[in-house]
Amino acid sequence: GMVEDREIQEGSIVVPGDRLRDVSMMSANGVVQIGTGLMQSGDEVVAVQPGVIHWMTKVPGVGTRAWIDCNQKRYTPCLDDMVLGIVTDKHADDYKIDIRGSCGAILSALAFEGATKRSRPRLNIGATVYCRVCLAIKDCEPELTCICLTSKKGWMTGQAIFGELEGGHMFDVGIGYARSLLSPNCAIINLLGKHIAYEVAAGANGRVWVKSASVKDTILLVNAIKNAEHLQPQQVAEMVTQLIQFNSSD
Amino acid sequence: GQGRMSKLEYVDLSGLRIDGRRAHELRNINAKLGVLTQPDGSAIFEIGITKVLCAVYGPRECTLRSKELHDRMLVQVEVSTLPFASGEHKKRSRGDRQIGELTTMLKESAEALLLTSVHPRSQIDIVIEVMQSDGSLKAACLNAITLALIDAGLPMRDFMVACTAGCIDGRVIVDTNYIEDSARGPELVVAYLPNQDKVVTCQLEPKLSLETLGPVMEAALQGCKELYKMLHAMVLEHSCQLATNRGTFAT
Repeated sequence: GMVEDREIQEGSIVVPGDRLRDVSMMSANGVVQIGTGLMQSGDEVVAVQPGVIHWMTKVPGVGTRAWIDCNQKRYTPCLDDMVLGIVTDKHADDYKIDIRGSCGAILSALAFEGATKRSRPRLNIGATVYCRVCLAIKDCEPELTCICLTSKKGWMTGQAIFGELEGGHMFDVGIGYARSLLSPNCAIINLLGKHIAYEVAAGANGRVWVKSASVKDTILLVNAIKNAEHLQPQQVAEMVTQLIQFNSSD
Repeated sequence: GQGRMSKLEYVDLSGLRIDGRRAHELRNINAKLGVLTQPDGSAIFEIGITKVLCAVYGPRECTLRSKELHDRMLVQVEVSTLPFASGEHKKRSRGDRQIGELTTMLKESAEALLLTSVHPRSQIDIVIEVMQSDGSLKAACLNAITLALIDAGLPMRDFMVACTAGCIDGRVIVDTNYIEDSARGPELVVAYLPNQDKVVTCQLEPKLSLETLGPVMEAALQGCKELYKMLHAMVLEHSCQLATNRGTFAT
């Protein structure tokens, strides 16, 4: 090998071209399911993206699965992900939505809870929508839907989880970070919620939308969430306290 | 009387070149990833005082549906040279033939490097800006492209590295600078995949004898291997830094 064969372990950083020569390290019987960021070359597994390599044994039905955690700016659509999109085009039966991926996604005009041909939401170009990915195959355009599996609130009530997001402000963050914002225990979201009343929607495609009563509060929320991406938990708490103090002292 | 033209000694008796290097020595290199925030990937590659900036946009939807390829990604390359990049201040027009040739070579190399079937019907735009030009420009552009594509996280089959080798006064030299490039000797640019031990691109001009080709090629490949060791370590360190900041990696 060119670079002295360093030992690649679970959780190591890899760079495109790095090879895992000994597959038996990952899986006792030498059978590994290859996920994103990896490719097979002969008997070896080669990294094709930069990032952290992970493998998990005893995955039901599969055995060992290996993949690379890569932080890209572009989103790769994945089934059942919740994403924030922007309407770029309107057709008779569907909308073309930009989800920050390699391809625009399609949202059917009737894919809203309680929508019929007579009564359905009319989205304008440039509107922000919160939806779920219902089809993600690399050879097809990804498809989205605003039909929620858990809540049955119709689109007209304004309480549906998915659908158009009016007002507020949307901004971009890292894809890995956005996913962590979706967790119910997310520190920054809960901390901010103790001081400010606001609505937030996070998309797995690296977009976040916030809405609050005043412009000043919205600016604070945007800055706090953006900054928290690179801070440790204690630093996050300190930052929020400082921002709130500064905000209320005006 | 007749004037006597003093001949420039590219490699002197003690084996030192004009800038004090030995025949097989590379200049100092520097690689910076993620230098721009707007593009999906970016990098600056420096070797000696040759400095190239590369920005990558994509994969995104094809701007022209007619150009869309059903089973793979479309790669577009654009090269521009800043007017103050080389010794004399001159503005290069878009249709410059040299730039056109360079663009084609870079596009073909990028297509061979990338796993284009992962994102069918999409497009990536690679934009190169030559900031400072002091020899071995083609190789520098290729290296900048590799680094920018890594920064963008695009799937690629290996870590492409490129190096230039030449032959002046019978001496084989590696990583030519501007003065050596202008010596009208042969110049061989090689783009190499170190882990697969394969050559992606190979360009030679003007010409050299068949016996000289072997040593010059060997020298270029050796230069590529040394470059790979350095760039690999730099990119690894950069990735570690990023992952640690994000809290996804414990050192």
